[in-house]
Amino acid sequence: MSIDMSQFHQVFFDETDEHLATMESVLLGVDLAAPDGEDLNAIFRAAHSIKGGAATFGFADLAALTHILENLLDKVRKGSMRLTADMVDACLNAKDVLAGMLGAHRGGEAVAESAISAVENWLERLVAGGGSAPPPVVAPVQSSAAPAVCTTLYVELDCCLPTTDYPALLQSLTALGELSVVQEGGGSDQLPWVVIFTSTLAADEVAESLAFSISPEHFRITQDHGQQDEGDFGLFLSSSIASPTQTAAADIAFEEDGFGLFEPLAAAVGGSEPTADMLYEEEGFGLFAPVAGPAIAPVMLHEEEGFGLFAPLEPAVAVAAAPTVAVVAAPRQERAAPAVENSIRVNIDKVDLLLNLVGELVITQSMLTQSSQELDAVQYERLLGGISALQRNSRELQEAVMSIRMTPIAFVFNRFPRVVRDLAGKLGKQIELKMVGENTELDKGFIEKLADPLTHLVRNSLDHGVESPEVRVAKGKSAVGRLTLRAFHQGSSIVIEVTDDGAGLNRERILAKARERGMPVSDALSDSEVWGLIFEAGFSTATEVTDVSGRGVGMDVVKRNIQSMGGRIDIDSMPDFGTTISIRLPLTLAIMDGMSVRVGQDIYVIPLTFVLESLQPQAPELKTVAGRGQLVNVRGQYLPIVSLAAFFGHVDASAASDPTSAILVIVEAGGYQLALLVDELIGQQQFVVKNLETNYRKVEGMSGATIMGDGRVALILDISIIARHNQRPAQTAARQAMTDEA
Amino acid sequence: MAALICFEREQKKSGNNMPKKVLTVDDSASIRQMVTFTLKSAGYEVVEAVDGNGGLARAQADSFDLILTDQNMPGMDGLNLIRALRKLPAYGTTPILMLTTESSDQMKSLGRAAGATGWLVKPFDPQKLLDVVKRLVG
Repeated sequence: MSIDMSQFHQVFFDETDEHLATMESVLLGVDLAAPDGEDLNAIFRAAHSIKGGAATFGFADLAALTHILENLLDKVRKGSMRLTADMVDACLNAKDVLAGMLGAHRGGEAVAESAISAVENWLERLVAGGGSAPPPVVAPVQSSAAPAVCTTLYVELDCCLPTTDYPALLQSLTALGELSVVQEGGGSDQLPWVVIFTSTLAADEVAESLAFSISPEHFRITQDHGQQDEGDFGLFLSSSIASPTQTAAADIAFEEDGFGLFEPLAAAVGGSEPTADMLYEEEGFGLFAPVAGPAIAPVMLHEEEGFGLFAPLEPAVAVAAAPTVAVVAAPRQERAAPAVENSIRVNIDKVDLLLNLVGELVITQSMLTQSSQELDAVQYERLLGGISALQRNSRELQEAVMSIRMTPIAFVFNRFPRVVRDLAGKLGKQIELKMVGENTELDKGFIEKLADPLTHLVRNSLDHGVESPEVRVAKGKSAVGRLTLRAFHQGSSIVIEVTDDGAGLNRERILAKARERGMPVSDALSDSEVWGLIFEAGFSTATEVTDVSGRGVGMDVVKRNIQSMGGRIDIDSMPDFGTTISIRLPLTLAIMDGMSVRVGQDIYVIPLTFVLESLQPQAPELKTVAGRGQLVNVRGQYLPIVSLAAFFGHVDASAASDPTSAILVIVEAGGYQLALLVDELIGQQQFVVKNLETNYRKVEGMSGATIMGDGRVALILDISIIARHNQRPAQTAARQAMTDEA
Repeated sequence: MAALICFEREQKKSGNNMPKKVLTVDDSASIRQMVTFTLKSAGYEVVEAVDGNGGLARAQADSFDLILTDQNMPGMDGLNLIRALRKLPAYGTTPILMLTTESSDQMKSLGRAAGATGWLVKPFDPQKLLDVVKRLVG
């Protein structure tokens, strides 16, 4: 039976993500002065789990790095080293590199070898710096399986050689590696000394150094089975418990590649002599393993097929020849249902398929609803009742399926404590980060897409918004700047706000910058229009370019990203009080609220998030600017009119000829408003969004398609694209109209 | 591209011809998934638990022919689980295999003293696991 391990990779990736997140959040919160033992254990366990999984599923690079990390954390956890700020930095750096490697295994960009070796060396230096033992040097991993380990050797020394000072000899070995004595030699039984010796030296090198003190025929060195390909499995033979000394030794009934079975332990019958059995036999050398601590020794009842049957035995109870079964009442616990029963991992593709099917169902249901409206309500009472029940059920089903894709925004927010900590350190600023509404849920598809834009906004706030402590104090503010990330639901949208209490946006500087870049601006622009300018490509008011921000790339990309998710971004700012940037996103990409409009024979859908109002224009409100098309005056503001008929090349649209007989839908995209000219408003409803690109091809100005109740396909307009098409000429025309009026 | 799995049910007829029941206790979802998949493909019935306490609860609520437990887990670790299981009359003789990333002798001795039947070092190959399980419970 061959098993394809790659089928388990996704779960491994997911759980590694969780472990890395745990590691980071614990590291960020750890109190260096008095680290909490449970915290240290949690970090260690995270590294340990990643290592185990990585080695199992063949990610040697992850396993190698986590192995070193685990070494360091183990020392800290056991108290042989103190946790330092440098260690926390190193561990955080390791976490980043691991996340990068994980990304590479998922098909992303490979992590630079230099970054990996740099963090490995850093960790190794730390391991070496604090412990009494020299650091284990980790060899580069060659195979795709196990993490590299130091060589572990069994060294057996004949005892009682008259000229040999054993303690001194062993002392000399500790200079070369880690040593633990398995069995002290001597005594009446003339037992040999047996030690386990771990070092980077090969067996022959150890033999060479031993040969200075003891002649080669009096010691034997054998290799431990620490490598992945041997000795990881065994079965134990019976061995005796020496009750007075509470030590016992095990026999291996059976040992082979990576697996072992223990034979049951037999209780020493009335003997107080410490007896020891063979654990391992090879080339005439035996080994005994001590058992640490008092152990309940199982009594052997009988033996078959390489394993024994035990009966529990109370320690220090003299055992009769006939085995007795001492029934120890285990504390009955309330049966806690483990988490594994309450959640299942489902591939996102399956959820998407389900969502799609539900979408089809909703379309069919709305078709039925529409067709049934023509039926006689009395005659078809039962059918109509059924259809309205179907409508209710399919709506509930749709909501239930959508909720499966919903993920708390904490998945995005959780990265920011780290981002803020690192950046504040770099910029020499003091920041207090507050996160509100982390449990607000949004579509999983947005989670990944939100990370970059939000990171950019946070960096911007820290770099340009929050002032240095000196400046803040001079302004009468507290030296510590405050950055708040807030998420909340509002209607069928989710709103995410990034608020800082920094200097705020500088209106004059933005306008000056805009003029400098030859942008057509006037002092009459409203604040929100001025703030909107920073989303222009290549716009930056940073007086100096830092490596944090100020290269003038970014805000336009942020805006584009948010718009591509069907969302919008707004800025609110006050000098010296700070800035709030709010992102508004639909709850899901699959279902959307929209307004359906008719242009000629065709139906188009305008996403409701862009719609401000609709109106029927009167002739005096219309104005034509030569070469610039038509404008409409809406409450004193001239907005460019975009005829959808002209935009999409319809010849059958009546609106194109006479706007006063048509409808204008006022939309806003990115702080820029325009009026779309359509023949008729049909209605407002929820639409199931279908991807146009996958079903047909990419169409300029369209963000998707939907199927109407009557089975017709309607295209969903991409308002931000249409707005961008018209922005430049239209802005000029609007100013022209203003000056004409003046 | 999933490998072709032959569903061989090499269950020894143990009188009642029921599939053997295995409890796997591990805090790592991916390892659990692999163990479960491997053993189910070979015809075993598998129940999962995510930590020592959960494993003990499952063991008490049900009966198993074999228990596989990881050593390093939050809450109750593998050694403590084995000790607790060995105190239950129902599990006095049940084979318990300890999965551990540490192949040190000390760990083996501790496992043996706690009452483990054997150990298997992580990382292991699924085939290896299957061989060992077959060896223990047929």
